[in-house]
Amino acid sequence: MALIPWKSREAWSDPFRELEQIQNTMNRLFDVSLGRHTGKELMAWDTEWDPAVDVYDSKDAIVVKADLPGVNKEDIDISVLNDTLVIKGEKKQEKEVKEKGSIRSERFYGSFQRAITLPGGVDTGKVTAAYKNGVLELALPKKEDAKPKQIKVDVK
Amino acid sequence: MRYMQECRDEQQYREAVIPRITIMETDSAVVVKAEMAGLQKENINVEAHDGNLTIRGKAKDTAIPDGYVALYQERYSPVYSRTLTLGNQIDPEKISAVYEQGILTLTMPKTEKVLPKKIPVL
Repeated sequence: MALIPWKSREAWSDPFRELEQIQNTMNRLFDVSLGRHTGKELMAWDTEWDPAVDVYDSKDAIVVKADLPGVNKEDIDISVLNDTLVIKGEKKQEKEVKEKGSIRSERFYGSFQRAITLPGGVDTGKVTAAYKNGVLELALPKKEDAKPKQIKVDVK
Repeated sequence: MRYMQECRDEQQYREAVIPRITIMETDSAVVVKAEMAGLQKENINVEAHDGNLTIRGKAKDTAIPDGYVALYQERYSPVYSRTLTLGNQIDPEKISAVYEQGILTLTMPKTEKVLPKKIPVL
């Protein structure tokens, strides 16, 4: 006769517990893959320096915001080729305090690159960029002929 | 009533991003740098309490502008929050904070008693 551990019998008595575990695992998986880094999963943050980006679209323009804390303005390089926006640059490590070195460092340094496919029709000659408080903000107006046109049809 | 207000204040930090930090040490001070992009100086709160130091920032501009739809939204949280333990070698009265390029730099001088003392030999 096989011995059945007492603990597993308790597990049988609650068939929903296992389902709950599966649900928790799935939730964690989505949190990581969809980039929802809330405070709880500090250590599960991405291991590479990859700036967070917001892209907003309207019929007249596209607005792009990227978090680039600690990056010098001169080290940011922006280019638009056809429908692809590329933001690249380098975050350099501050050198002012180096006497005893760092005790703890969670910040990433080095080069980064982000390529974003834009919905078509950007007027590449009119793109403007501003960098303030560690956020890069780009305004990309759309070409006149790319804007949706309203065509009035007279009903007779 | 005041308790309710405190609860509401706490509520907005539940989805806060924990800023990445670097802690550096010199003989006379500890320097902490925290990545908190997109804030206004007025919306940053640094508070020392019971041997802890809490840094918080709010009202980061993450809202979708009027007339726009979001294609990417990775800068999801408008708030930052993090608490650090100060320990007994920091003088909380002398902490200074500077916000520049999205980085909050805290300079925390050590208390007199932990500073190395030169004893003259007579």
